[in-house]
Amino acid sequence: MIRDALRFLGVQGEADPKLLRLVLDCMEIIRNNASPKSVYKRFTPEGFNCFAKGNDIKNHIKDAVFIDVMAVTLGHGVDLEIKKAQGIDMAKAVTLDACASAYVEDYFDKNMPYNLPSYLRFSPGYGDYPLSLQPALLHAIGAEKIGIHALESFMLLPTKSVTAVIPIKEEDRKEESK
Amino acid sequence: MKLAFGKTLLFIDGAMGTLLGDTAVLPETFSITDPEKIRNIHKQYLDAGANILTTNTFGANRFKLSGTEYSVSEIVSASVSLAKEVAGERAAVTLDVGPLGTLLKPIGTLSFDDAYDAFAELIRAGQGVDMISIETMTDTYELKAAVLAAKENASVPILATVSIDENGRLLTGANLASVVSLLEGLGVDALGLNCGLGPVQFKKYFDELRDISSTPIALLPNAGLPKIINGKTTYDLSAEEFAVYMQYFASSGAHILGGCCGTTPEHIRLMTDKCKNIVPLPIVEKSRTVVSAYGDAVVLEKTPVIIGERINPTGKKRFKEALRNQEISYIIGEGIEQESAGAHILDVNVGLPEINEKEMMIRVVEELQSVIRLPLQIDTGDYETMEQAARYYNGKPLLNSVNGKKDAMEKVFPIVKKYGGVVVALTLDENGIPTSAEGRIEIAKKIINTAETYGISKKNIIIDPLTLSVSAGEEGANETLRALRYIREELGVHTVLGVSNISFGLPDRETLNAAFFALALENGLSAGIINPKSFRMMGVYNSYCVLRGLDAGCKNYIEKHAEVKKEDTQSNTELSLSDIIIKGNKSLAYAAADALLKTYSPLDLVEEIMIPALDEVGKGFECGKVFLPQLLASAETVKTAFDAVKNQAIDGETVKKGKIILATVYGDIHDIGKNIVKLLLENYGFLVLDLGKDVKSDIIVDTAITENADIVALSALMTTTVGSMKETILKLKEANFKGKIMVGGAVLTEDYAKSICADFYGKDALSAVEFAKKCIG
Repeated sequence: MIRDALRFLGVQGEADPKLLRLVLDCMEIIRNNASPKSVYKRFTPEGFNCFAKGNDIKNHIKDAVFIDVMAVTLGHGVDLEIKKAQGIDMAKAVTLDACASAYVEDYFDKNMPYNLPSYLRFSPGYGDYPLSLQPALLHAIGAEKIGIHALESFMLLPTKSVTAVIPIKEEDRKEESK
Repeated sequence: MKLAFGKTLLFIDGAMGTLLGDTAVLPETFSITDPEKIRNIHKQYLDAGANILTTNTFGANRFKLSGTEYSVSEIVSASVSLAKEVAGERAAVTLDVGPLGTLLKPIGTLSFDDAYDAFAELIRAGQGVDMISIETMTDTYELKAAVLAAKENASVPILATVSIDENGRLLTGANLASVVSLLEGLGVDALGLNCGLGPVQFKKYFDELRDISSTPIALLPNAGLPKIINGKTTYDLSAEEFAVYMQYFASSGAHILGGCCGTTPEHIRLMTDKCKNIVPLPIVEKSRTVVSAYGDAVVLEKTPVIIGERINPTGKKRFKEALRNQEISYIIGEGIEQESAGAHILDVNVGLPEINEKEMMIRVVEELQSVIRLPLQIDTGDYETMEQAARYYNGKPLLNSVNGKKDAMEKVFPIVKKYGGVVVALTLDENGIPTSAEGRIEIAKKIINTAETYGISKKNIIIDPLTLSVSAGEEGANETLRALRYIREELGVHTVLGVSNISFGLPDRETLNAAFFALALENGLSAGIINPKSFRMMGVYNSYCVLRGLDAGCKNYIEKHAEVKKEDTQSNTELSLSDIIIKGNKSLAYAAADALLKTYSPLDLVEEIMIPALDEVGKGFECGKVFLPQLLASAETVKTAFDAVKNQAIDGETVKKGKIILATVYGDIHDIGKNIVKLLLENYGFLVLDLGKDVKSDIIVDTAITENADIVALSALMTTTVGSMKETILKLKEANFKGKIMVGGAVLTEDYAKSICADFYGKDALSAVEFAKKCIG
């Protein structure tokens, strides 16, 4: 997670100790203020059809027997900390922001069905998969219950939230039952 | 039908959505398209023993219905008719009001007034019901809008329930103490929990509710926790188990029972069977003095609390300037610093003759509440400002102040009663401030008695027996302390003092303030209005808590004071201002700049030392040796050094050049990039007018023209919002704006910037500075 946070901050090579300390401190603040939540729903390929807009998503799910749509969020507490830091210390603010991004990605990966690898996640906005599907996807899986909302611009609130489509193949399920 | 909340057990029906199943259309539309379906569900619950039926209006608000062909009033009146028709004389009907499905400012984009209007529309359409159920709320601000709309547009009892997570919090952060204080303040008739969790998880939070609530309690849990089996949601508790838990709640202090997601007529039937002969426990009035905000509530108890006094222009040149220039960020910064210094509540006073106090108060309250979870003390002598601030405040505020004057009480008590605040009462009246403690105690009694006639309990009053400068009379402090002790011990009311007034007109004020603070704490001070950034004052407070056994294991004291010695030695190390900036050692910058100002003129210091140091960091950034957090740490350091420069300069404006308008465009709420640009532009001495995020094009254009700006700088993060950037630029051109337009943001490119007629595309904050230098120089 720390490595990802550093990457988001554009740090190449070794980070100096002071910067590393800042990242570690910020990650701690994020951890203490996050209330991570996830929700998902499993669709049959037919059930998912109305969300399969564009070629890229169709390619992505082509051999799937089921399709999971999952959303995760870190909650408003994280947004508040990032915003608060912007009032007094921008260096801390951008670092908190990077740490929160790394944290939410990591949280998503850890909650992938059947421990599937993260490259199987496909989100609105990837390739030709339209961002405008965001509200419908959120609604279909009941993401409002964990507090995720889409604005008119399709930005998600809380800002550290991720939605994605994950194809499930027959062999993934067999893997699980072993 | 007349409902006796708290006297007999009331049974509300179970889930509507669960019985309707997964539907592609909004379930509320069935009230018109398939009324038999809804009628049938109502009948099943009525036959199961429910004596309150809930209308099919959970999502019948203008936002959720916007995709349908029906109006709010069509759906609501059809739904109410159906429920009333089935209920007949056998049951009461409650109007169901759920969340709007869109987030309120400052978290989201919906204004409080728009939320209020949407709720009011639904409530007005629901005439003829016996009560209103505001339910499944996950944000206290939305909850407040709904309750106010119900109070102001209907005259039936209100039940308000919230949905919490496993940690007992709403999604936007409030805990139960905050929720209860808000709802009791607003005067709802019953309150409680619904949805989110099952009865098993409710148990712990029910116990908490019982301990803090003086209002009838309602519990409408889900049928356990959801499990997804083959893509279908089911709940893990049988109707039998559900009923057993409900029986426990009924016999332990709950007054209204029902079910939420996953519950069926069977759950309700077994529940009413088990509970029908239970006589509910009487409600015990709690004497807790509580104020609240987004997060945790602050309860005045044995441990005194700190009210931060810094957001107040009195005697503060820099603060007055910030108010006049509408530099909200400076004011918010004061708030954040006080919070981290250990304040529990923040006083907010923005009264200055030349500004519109009401507008400023509401703006500052809203901005503070977007970054700080602490409760606020609304400090104003203008009653209209107080009323409006109480309305728009998220939580139960502390209102400062009322006094023994007839007029003041007539103006303030209705505000306290309507919006539910705790009010600070000053012991003065038409005859001024009595010199003796006895005189002040008499006024305190008068205030408490008068408040009671308005229905305001003494737990919602904090008496301020007034600190007078000890230089004006040597008995003054003694009288204040005597009054303090009597009020706390004999009247049983909490107390507050503006501590620092004691030393007015005397040298070394902090020494006297600290000693008086210690004495006041020992004599029963519940809340001290002090400067929490003063280490000495906080030292007194932390020590008092340790010595009076209020700091278990000296934990707080150790945390706050362990580093004291270390910091002292650190600040003695000699570093040049230039090194301090390059290393980003913000804490050393003010003193270093201040020292240099003895030999440098303000302008020379900026141009010869500060800017060159920042340039060097900037060069490092451009060649990839310095990274963004480091660049910004240096920029923050320069900003602190600038504060020293500003203090020294006779006119703060002399070191500022140009005028740049900065905004994140309409629809876009991500503003971290914009704030980075702002910091750096200010570092280089440009005057920046920051309009904030999600700014409508008209506001940007108007400001650009009236302020005659040199540059308008626009930021957008999303592909969906660059459209409003384009629109803004178009309007600027139409309005014949003469300055330059610069754009930036994650999704923009040089080519795109050109295509929307921007003069410059800034790939990062430093390039924005370069462009500004070129234009303004």
